[in-house]
Amino acid sequence: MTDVFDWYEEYRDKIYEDDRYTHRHVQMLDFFDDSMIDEDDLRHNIACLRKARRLSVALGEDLFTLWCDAFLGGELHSLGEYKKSREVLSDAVLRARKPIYANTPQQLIVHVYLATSFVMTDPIGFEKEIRELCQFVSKNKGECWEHESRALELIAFLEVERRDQKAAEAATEKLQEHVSVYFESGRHWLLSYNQAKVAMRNKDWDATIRYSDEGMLDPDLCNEPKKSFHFLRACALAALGDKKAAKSLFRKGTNIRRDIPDADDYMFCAIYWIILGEPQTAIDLRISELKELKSKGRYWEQYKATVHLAQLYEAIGDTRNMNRWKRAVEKCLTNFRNPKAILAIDLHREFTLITSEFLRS
Amino acid sequence: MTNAKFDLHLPGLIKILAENLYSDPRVGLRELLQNSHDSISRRQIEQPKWRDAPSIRIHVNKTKNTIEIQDNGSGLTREETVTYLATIGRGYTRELRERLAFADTERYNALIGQFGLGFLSAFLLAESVEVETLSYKPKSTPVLWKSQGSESYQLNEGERTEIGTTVRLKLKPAMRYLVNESTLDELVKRFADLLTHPVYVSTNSHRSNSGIAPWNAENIAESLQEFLTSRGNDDEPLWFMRLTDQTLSLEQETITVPLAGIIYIPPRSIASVQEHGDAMVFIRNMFIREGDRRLLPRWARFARAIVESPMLTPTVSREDIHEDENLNLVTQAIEQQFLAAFDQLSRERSSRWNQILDAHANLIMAWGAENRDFFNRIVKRVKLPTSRGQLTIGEYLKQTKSKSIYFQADETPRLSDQVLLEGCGKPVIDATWYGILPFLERYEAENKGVRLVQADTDIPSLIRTVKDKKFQAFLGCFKNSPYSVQIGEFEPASLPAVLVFDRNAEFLRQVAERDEDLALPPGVEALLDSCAEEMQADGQTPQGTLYLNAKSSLINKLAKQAQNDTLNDTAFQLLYQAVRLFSDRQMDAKRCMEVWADLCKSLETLLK
Repeated sequence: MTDVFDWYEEYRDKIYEDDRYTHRHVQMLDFFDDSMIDEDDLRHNIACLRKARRLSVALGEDLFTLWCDAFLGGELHSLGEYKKSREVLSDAVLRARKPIYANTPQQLIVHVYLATSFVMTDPIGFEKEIRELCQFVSKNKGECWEHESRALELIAFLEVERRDQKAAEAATEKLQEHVSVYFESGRHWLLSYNQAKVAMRNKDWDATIRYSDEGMLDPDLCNEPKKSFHFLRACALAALGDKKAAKSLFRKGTNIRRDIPDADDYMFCAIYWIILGEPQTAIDLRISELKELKSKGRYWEQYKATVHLAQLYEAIGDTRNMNRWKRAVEKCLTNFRNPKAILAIDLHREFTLITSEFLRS
Repeated sequence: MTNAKFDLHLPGLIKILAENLYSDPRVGLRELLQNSHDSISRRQIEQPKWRDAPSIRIHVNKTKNTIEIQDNGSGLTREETVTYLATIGRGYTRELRERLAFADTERYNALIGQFGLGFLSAFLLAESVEVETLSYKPKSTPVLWKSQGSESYQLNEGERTEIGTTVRLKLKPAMRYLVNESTLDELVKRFADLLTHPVYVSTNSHRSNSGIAPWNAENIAESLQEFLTSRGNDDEPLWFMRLTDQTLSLEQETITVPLAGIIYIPPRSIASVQEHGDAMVFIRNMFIREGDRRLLPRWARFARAIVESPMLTPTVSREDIHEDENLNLVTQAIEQQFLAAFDQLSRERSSRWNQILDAHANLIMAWGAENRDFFNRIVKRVKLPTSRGQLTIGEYLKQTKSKSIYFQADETPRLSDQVLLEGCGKPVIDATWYGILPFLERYEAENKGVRLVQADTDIPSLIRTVKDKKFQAFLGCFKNSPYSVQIGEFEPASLPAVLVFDRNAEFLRQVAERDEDLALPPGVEALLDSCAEEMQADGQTPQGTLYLNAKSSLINKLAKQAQNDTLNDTAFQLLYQAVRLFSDRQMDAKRCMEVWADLCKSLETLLK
């Protein structure tokens, strides 16, 4: 298997050089190229990819249709439209099994992205499938090492979400080794992100600061948002008592303009307000998060926010609302494949660790 | 404590500065032309009685692979050669500009040099550089400076008798393509077209640079066209405006942004969406860069600009501008002027205004939603793609006689949806292009009572299910049909039936019928099943629904025949196959052949 963009370049060269191709083929490529110009302009990119895809269908360019599906699925996921992303990717995965797609990068990408969607939606219920799929991707990556790092990244994410500290460390280490060999700033960012998240969960504030700093490095190479690191660091600074620096950093974080809604940011911000002793702000934030997540198939994030809300109401002694959100938690659980396994994680306890310390004080 | 000085490895530093500071080696020529230009300006400042015609001339020697750049500017004394030419980071021009900054703004602006690094770029082009110079200052003697880019240089007495400077470049092998008059002519046009002092290539008697910016020309339209044509753009702009100094009100003060240039609108959007409101940037008439996407406002991607402002700060290599407060001010000044000019255009020259909106409708809509002022100017005129062709929002609402705007954002509106909505007098706006929905949302926000409706979510409300015993027998005739068949009332009555599929019906069918021989990778099966369950939980089904219209006289007749057991099977078959053909489902070859076979059978029966 060739590298992801090598395939595209070869395909594009063929279209430009071969007389058989029409201006509509060129237009199709133009639309795809346009979707690559500004990675933060997701709505624009999605519209361009849809145009490119529509042309590819009309022109019978099946390989390019699957190529567009892969990127369209990825962009929809980045926009937080998990349900729409899954619709595109699941259909693409079904088509990708046909022999004409064998050994093309898009064949693997659609699988990787579909697995990504499940890591973000129901990591516990589909743990086995995600692992199997990641193994399959690593085994079939050919010369395309990017696929392997993506698979390793997914496993690292999975372990972090499973709250298995040892497995998360091992997976992170493996990813670290891999990205050191193939320097990839994007993955470096992710590595720091995972590490900072785990550190915060464990209330290891110094480590949270250290990993956030690492994540904020290298702004030119890495286009990932610095927003989350600002919030993580602000939480740690607030927890360590430097409220002035925390507030300034928090403000800075909120001023970073980015289209991509990151649900974790809601969690970091909520924790920040808890640490500052303002549970109502944290509650308002979580409620607006749930509005944002509605109807998008973002079940795991929905569940986490709902559990947190029940716990926050409990902490402020509002039993009526606490019960209301507990009922909402029950309802959320029906979206998962294995609700018992989800309950075993005990997110409630995890949130309580932070809330009890700061709200009591 | 000991204090120590940094050691400098000069050849390495020269190599880094010369080779890595600039991304395009041709910039070396620009820097040398600018030095010559500044040298002439300096002479005009410091020797006011000098009245000779200024001249910069480039000579080539094809056998020796050399280029000479000759000027009749101020020249350098021996001391100045050592101080300014051979000291990295120190340039006479910058020092002179600093002295003139407040005293003589006009002359200040004529000087371009800033960093004292430009001369280094000669080593981008050349393996060795010679400078022969004679200063206008009394008692000066000619100086010959030579360097191979190493840490030492040679300084000798020169032979020239005329005041001025000649820079001789022995070109590097890779740069030898420059020993060509037409290439040099093109480069002069690219980099130095607006410089006021004339640049001649070889023995040509006509200058290679125009020397006047289009916005300062007597006939701006003509000059702009020439300027664009010389840069490979032959299209006549639909409209242009001249940029001038702009006063901005800041929080507690006002500031005047020095600004010149032109904003113009090309006759059409070029390739697909490759429109980014590109601007060409000049600072003190020196070309800095093209394709800058920060100067024009985001909503003005359909426009182009040529911008000249001494307020912009060039980077050290002067191939770009800094993103600083000055850039923000210049951007604000441009936006204010552009909006004001557009306002005037829309009021006073409606035909040209309409031409612009028609030519760039997609981009204008996409970005119009971002700026309220601009939105208000375009909202009544811009045309939207609808199932009834291109309509303005006003025309749309007038035709629908309601305040609901139907749109489809994710996919192109399905035929069945369009037919049902059209039947109810509701055209659908195709909002798949990314800017249309934000445009409609802004319209909804600004107009009380207007309601946006996603077309496919409103379909159930267009069909009223009917339970009437008279259709019972007729429904029985569809018992072998793979679709769910229902009787409903919908408009128009002339539409006897419609076959509607859910968005993911095809996927759901394939998941249900997947061929076991085509093995899926491990784990995928469960993921696909979960996706299918999610879709089905949202009410989607694989089989599609065939709605028979209780208002249709044809359906009523067939229902009556079925009730009396006298159903005309040919008519029934023709209707059924026609509905299948006009359904949303993309037919594969197999299904298409099936439908045709059935249609042919019915038609043959008719012929009998």
